[in-house]
Amino acid sequence: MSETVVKISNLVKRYKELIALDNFSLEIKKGEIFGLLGPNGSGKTTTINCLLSLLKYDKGEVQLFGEKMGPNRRDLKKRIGVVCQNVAVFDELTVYENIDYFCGLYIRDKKTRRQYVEDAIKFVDLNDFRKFYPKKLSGGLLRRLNIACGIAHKPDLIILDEPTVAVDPQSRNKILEGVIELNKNGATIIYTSHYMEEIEQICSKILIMDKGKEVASGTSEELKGKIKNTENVIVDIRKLPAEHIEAIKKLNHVYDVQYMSDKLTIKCNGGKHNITHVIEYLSENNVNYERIYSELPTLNDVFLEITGKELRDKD
Amino acid sequence: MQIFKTFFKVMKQYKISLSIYTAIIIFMLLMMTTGQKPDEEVTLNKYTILVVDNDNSEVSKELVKFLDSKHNLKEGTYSDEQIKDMLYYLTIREYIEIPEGFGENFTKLTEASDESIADSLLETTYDDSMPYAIFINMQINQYLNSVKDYMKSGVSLTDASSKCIDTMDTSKFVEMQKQEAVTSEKIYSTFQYLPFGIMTIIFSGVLPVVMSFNESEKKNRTIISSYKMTSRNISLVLGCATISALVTVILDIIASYRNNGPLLFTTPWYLSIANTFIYTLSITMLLSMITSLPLGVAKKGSANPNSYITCILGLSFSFLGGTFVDLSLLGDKVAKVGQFTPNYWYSVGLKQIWYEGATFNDVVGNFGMQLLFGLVCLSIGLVFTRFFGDNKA
Amino acid sequence: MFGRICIADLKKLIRSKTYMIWTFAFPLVLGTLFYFAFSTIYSSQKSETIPVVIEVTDGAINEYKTLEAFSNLDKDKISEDFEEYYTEKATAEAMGETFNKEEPLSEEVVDNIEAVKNYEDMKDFNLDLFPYEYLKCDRSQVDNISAADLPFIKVIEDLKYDEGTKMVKQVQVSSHEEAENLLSDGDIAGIITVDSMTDIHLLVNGNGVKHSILSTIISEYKLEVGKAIDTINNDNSNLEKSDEIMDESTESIDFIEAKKMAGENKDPFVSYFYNLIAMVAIMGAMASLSLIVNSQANQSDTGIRIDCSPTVKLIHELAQLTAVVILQTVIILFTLTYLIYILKINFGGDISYIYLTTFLASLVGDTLGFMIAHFGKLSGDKKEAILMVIMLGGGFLSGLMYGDMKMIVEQKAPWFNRINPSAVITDAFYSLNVFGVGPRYYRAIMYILITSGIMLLIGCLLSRRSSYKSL
Repeated sequence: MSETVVKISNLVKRYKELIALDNFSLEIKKGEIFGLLGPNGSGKTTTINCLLSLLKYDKGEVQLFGEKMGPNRRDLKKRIGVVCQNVAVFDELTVYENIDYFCGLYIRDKKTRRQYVEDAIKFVDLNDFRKFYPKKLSGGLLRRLNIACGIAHKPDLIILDEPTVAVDPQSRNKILEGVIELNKNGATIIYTSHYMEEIEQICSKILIMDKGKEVASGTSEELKGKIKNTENVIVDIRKLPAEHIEAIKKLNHVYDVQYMSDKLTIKCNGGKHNITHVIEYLSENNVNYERIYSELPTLNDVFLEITGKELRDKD
Repeated sequence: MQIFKTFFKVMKQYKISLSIYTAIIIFMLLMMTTGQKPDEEVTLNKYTILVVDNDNSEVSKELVKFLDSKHNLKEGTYSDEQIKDMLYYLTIREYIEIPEGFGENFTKLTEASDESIADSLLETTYDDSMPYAIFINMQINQYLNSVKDYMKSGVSLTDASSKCIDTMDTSKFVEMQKQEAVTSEKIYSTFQYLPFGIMTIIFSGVLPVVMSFNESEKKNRTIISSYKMTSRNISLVLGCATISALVTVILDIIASYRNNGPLLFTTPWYLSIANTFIYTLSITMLLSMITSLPLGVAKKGSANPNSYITCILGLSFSFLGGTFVDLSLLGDKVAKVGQFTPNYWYSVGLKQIWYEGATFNDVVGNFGMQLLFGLVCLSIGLVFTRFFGDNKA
Repeated sequence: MFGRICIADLKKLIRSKTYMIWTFAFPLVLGTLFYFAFSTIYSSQKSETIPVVIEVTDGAINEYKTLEAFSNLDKDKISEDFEEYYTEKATAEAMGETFNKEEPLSEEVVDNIEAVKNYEDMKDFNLDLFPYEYLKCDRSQVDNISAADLPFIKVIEDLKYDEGTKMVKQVQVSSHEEAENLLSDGDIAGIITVDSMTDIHLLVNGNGVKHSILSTIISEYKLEVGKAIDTINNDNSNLEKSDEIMDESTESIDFIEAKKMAGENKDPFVSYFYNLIAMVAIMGAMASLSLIVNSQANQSDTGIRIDCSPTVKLIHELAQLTAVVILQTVIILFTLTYLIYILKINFGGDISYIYLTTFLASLVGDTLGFMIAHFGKLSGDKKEAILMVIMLGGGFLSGLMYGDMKMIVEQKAPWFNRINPSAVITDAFYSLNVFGVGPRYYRAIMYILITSGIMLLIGCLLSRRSSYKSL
């Protein structure tokens, strides 16, 4: 059984009357890429800050590597790397100097540090930019520098707090690949985001939280298995009469039908050939449609079903 | 009106800083009025001197009485160190020690013809190169010589002393060229320091707000919107002017409140108030020039240029323009450079108002020069905006 | 690690254009300004010659002419001539001859001369009736008497300061209106009108020391002349030597032994330069403040990184402070060198001690910023505002803007001068100038070190982790 790297037990954090964390608990095993998912204001960053002892909490306990975490636990801090949501680098230092500076806060030995810095630069592919100042870097490159500063010292636990915000798709993919590679090299990762696609893509275990509480946790499949919805059949139809909606509702394994903006969404629970049944019905009833496809439920569906609201705010 | 209203909303973020600066300036103004000597009618200079009478004879007492009639005698006992401090910082201009035996020796002098007794009868400590010290010593020598001569011709000490004091009464033969304007050193000095206060508060409080509006991304949002840039700039200027005017009103009240009585709501007072507002206007226009410069908004954690600008410009203008040190002391070279600051014209105008009984017509030239300075700054600011704006495009 | 953090922060400071430009520009600009403003005041006030216009009326000249005439009147000759006249007349009458010779002097003239019993009588004498033929000297000596010959004018011309500079200078004008204009413009200090030997008036346009000196000169002259006239009036025979008596009357005794005031440089305006150094030193607080604030988790993102690291926070901050101390020392010593060697400002005292004092002064500023940076959860802007208050307010109370303020504070609240960083620094320089290296100076240095030490200690004590987020 793999060792527990992070254990948060019944954490409570209040800001005056607002409860930011309400008896929140989680456990992360070694080698996991743990996704912390939740809408804005759910308590993700508060959890991270309490975990890092940047914030005092009102109740509960935080354990890292089997020991109680505190502001003065430098031995534990040595093993943690943090990549903040905002780019936290010094404008007056070059790329190399920034990474060296932050790595130097963890690694004292000059030779080791130099090697680590080189490894970090190589890892984030910033070799061509080592003498550049942050002002001269694009958003994506800055994010990579931000990551490099957080992981250069090769920590055992890496916390990435929404590292892909405002980043182009190419850089995002690179970041995600990098995270996976770090995990392969032995680091346990805590990855917070409100982009469920990323979480689904890389995380081995996911915890969905809302209003300071755990909503659901498990692997992606486990979470999807918790909900009624096993399949969504989506049909693009213009002007569908209401009687057909009622009729489709009565089909096998269909428990909910919605028709909005020329899109018919049929939620199914169970069944293997739901899309075939729908096609049959439409053909039999001469209903013209443009497109039909099937989707597996997403984490958003999980969240929606459990909480009744979307993971991400509607645009 | 949108930007004008937003200006004050943004200002709220800086309200604490603004309040702190305003408080310190008000404190300085109040301290200034506390430090002022009470108004006296003086036709000629009276200095503060320290006299220590170790003799306590009739002669020494008469001498002290004479010195008291001519100058302000400092009371108290002080150590050597304290006396040195007082002399250095001009709290006293001269330290006179009347040694034991002074009266006896002086009396001998009136009887004998041997004048060598007179040598070193009195010990004084002063800056020997400064004219006021020479003046005080001249008075002492004059008095003692005359008393000696009168006593030699048979007049008693008291009569001789009275005669000398009477003869040395300058009001009998000295006249002032002009009728001195009814004035107060206190109110003049307080108004004199206002420019520094106005400039410091406006620069430290208003400048960051304008710089924030001029931050490139925020500015670009306005440029691409349907809101006219001219309207935006006018709104910002109006916002600056409103705050500046408010600051000036507060400082004028502080400057005036301690000076009750006949001087308030008189022509000089109204002119002084007008002078401060004209100055404020020219400083506001200077502000617009500075905000056009590519100084950059202070980033979090980096050195803040606002503080440096406030300090350097505030102190430089104040020294050059006679705010801290009277213009007459500064010399011609400095006056020539100082003429390029609004502080100089403010100071000149203020002096004319309070010491020369100037009317509006007399000081309108000074007002005009301040406004001219402001307009020049405004023009330079517009050129900068054009130049840097075009380059960016 | 300490060294590395220190070097990294030095790089940050040096590469910050805003910081470097302003920190160097500020003292150089202000120092140069002070130099042009104040460097000549003291020397110009020293032994300044006072320009005046002296208007001598005809009455005064006539009075002196009369004085000179009577002083040179050969009464013996008159007596002889009259004696001879009367003898000849008696002889002629005795011999019954016609005696047509005129009297040496008319009766009127004789009566007028005999009527002069005192100085006032002599003053009112009509010179047209004077018997010039009985002058001991040439008539032209009396007729050519001009304003320049008057004793008062000679006194004015002879007056000098100790080092030989003339005290008063006469300015020539063509009319009284011109003189009045010069006076109102401030080109002359006064108009002296000499109506008679005793009747002298002074018209001034202010009440400065120059005007006071002029009035003192006139009152002394009047005193002396008064005494001389008393002497003349006491004995009729003194009328004949009235000019000698007048000349003698201008001598007097000096009763005063002068002790020079302490201070290698007595120019009180040098205190502005002390305040400038104090201000530069205090400005170092801006650097330490911004560096420390930037490494606080509740103020910046880099602060979060640093806070999460295993570095001992205090050591990290002390390393940053060291970087500031190094850079600020360079800046302030550069400023001092500029003031001393380029602008040639005399700070008063041994140069090596001046440099030492300056270095210690910079510590005050650096530790001040260090302390303020730890003032609770206030934002960086507010902390900076507090710093500006201390800088401007402290500077003001130590005499930067109003010269007498430091002494006023010393009288009313001397404890404040011990804790005001600006006052503590200026006091050290002042002590070095006036008292030299001695107990007073050491005491001032001790205050500097104590102030720095206390601020450092407070900063260290306040340097602790705390919750930073608030919604």
